[in-house]
Amino acid sequence: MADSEVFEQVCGELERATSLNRLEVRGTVRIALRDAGLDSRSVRPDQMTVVLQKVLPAALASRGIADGERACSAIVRALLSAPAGAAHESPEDIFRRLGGGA
Amino acid sequence: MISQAIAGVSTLLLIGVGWVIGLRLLLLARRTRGIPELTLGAGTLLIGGLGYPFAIATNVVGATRPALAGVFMVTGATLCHLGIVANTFFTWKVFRPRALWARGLVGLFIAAAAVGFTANLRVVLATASPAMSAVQPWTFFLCLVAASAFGWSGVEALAYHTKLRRRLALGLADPVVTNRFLLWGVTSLASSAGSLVNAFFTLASPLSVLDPVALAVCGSCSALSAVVMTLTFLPPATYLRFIEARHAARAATR
Repeated sequence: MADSEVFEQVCGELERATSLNRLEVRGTVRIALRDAGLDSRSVRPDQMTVVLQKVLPAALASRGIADGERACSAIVRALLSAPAGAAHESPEDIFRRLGGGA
Repeated sequence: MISQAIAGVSTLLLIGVGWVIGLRLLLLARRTRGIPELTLGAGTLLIGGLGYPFAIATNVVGATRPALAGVFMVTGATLCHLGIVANTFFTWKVFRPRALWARGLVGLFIAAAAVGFTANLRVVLATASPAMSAVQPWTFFLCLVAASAFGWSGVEALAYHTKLRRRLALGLADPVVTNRFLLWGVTSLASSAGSLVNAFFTLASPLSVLDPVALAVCGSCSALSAVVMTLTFLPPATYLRFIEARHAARAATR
């Protein structure tokens, strides 16, 4: 299964904004997503926003990227201004509804 | 005597839960048109609400009316197989909707249901009063299929729960929904364990499902499954408050 659109977008932006190459960026973002309990194939823009704010700046800093936080903030702004696509129903959406939280 | 009581109470619990939660989910499906609630509701009703009563009826009339017991046996086993298929549809649609291997696995469970139905029907049609030993391999087969289906569901639910716990720390998940995956994992694995124990005792001897150890272990698994399933899909407000308060307390100490 292919990686999500938002994953590709964030990796592309980070590759342009930092000195990391394509492989390094994708690996860093994948590890950050895994640490957050997320997956590159199914991550949504709202989830990626939180990862960019809370997980990726530290991950980039540990790889010697000094201005990682600024790069992440710029990507968050771009994500927030982009129109929301059709959301795929996640397992937690389903379990929320099944338990009476529809 | 104690093991019989455990088995009796747990079977009644499972039948009750099968009807209440099964119907509740089917009513939800009528409103939402959602496949997950439809398949899980159908699976719960078919196995707990209908399959178990037919299995009990088979034992009740077995000695006096063997032909009728045969009909009940085929009906009960078929309902359980169909319920298992519905359950695997749920697992596929919720956890692996885009995975080809998961679709293939559901296909295997459908094939297993067809094999189980055909085999049981052949046994009943071959003789007017089928002996327990004749249906023994197919009861064993049903138990193994059930254990696999519930096992798959349990593993998927617990793996997803692990992911959600990490998201919870970032404020990306809801504590009640996160807990619901844990509960569903426990429910499914308890059902899987019960089915495996049943399979083992079925293989040992045709009548060994009435062994006190088998009754006690399977009964305990069934009771656990019924209680935890109720907490999953019909949680009392006090339980929800407990989960939220526990999450708030943990968040405060971080």
